[in-house]
Amino acid sequence: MKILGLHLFLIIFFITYMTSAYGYKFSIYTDETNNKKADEVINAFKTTYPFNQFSLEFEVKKVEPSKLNCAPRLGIDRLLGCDTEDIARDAAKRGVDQVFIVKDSPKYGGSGGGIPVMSSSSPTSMLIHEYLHTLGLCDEYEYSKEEASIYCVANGANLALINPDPKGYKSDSEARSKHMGNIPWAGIIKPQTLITNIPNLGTASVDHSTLATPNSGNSVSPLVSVVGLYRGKTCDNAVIPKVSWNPGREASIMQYLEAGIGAGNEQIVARILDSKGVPRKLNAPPPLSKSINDSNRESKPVENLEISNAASGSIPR
Amino acid sequence: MILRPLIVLFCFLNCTFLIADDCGQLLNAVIKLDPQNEKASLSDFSIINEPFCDLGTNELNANFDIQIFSQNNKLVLTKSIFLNLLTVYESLDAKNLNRFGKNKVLASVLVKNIKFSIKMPLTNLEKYKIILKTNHKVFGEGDIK
Repeated sequence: MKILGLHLFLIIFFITYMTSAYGYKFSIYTDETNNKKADEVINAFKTTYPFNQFSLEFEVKKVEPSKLNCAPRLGIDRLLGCDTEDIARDAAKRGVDQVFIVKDSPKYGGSGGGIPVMSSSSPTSMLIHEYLHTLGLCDEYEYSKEEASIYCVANGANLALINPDPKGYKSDSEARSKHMGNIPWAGIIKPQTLITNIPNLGTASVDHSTLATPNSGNSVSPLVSVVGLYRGKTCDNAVIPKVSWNPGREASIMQYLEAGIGAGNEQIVARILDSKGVPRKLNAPPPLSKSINDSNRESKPVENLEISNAASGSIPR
Repeated sequence: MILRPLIVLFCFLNCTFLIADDCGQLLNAVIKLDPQNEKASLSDFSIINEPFCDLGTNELNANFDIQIFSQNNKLVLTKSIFLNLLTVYESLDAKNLNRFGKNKVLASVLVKNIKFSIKMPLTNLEKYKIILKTNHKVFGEGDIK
């Protein structure tokens, strides 16, 4: 009886020890009176893959509007930015890992830098979009000439700037040897996925009329098309035109707010969170493990790669 | 009878913790980056009295190295992190809130929370350096207070 009690105690002790392990702390600072949008944001993170696979702790910190120090940028009232130094200091004392701001405002907008910001009247997915900027992901919508010229100078986690060879490519391996080193997500493009449709660069034509489906599941979104190299439009208007490329064929949350993160970007985000040391939930599947569907895909002919593939393979780290 | 296995378990968990390379005490700080003027600084150092294993010392796509030095300029810690050099300010289309409207890209000052795992008292840490990885330019250095 005594031994049974001891075992029970040890099990409880061990479980308590394990579950009290470090969780990555998100703190949402808001001047909303009812926390409505902040609560919606928390729910969105909790139910969106891959964030739902990580051990995240959430808190809402209600503050006075003056503490948020938000103001329109460049005199344009919908371009919302906040001076966040005091907030970061406050958060540091409490061991917060990532601060977010939800500003009570009827204007529609937000910003993504060190601390993601959104107005309370914007869709909840806006803050996920802004947080993806904080993680290093780029917009996938078309920039104006002025912005493209500033923004399109370097690759981002989901943006590759590659001017295709005007002579075209004789083989996929030729394109791979020339360009894979310049594709930030090369590690999640499967060896059998083409990055050309000879003689042109690009896995396939883009389809921005199809939106990536929001994914609240426990694994990478089922793919409508494979993760590859797809022509983007972010940098088309740059003074010196740049050809931009993205990992997904469909429009993602980096283009339209009602879209999902998209399978390619989901994998990129998961890799970034892993590299930041954000702990995975104890019951979460191991990082980007192979699924049964993967083995199915291996046997599919290359020309069918654009359709009905599911899940991704393991990513070299 | 009951105490002995508990002590063994306690020692095992704590010894594992102490031996692990990335584990120590939690040091919080605030990093400030001014990309336009190529300056960066760390401030608001505070130790939280809890064990912390930093498994994020080498972030994917990291563009800055933060080096921490103890007395006698001894490098005790390097953490590679990603910081945005540009901030995107985005508005939404009032007719369709799922579409983006006007946006602006600015090299705004960026502030962010950062955590370190340290194995010595804060008083033993002396200096920090923040270095841009691409060209090794020192964006900032200062004392740890």
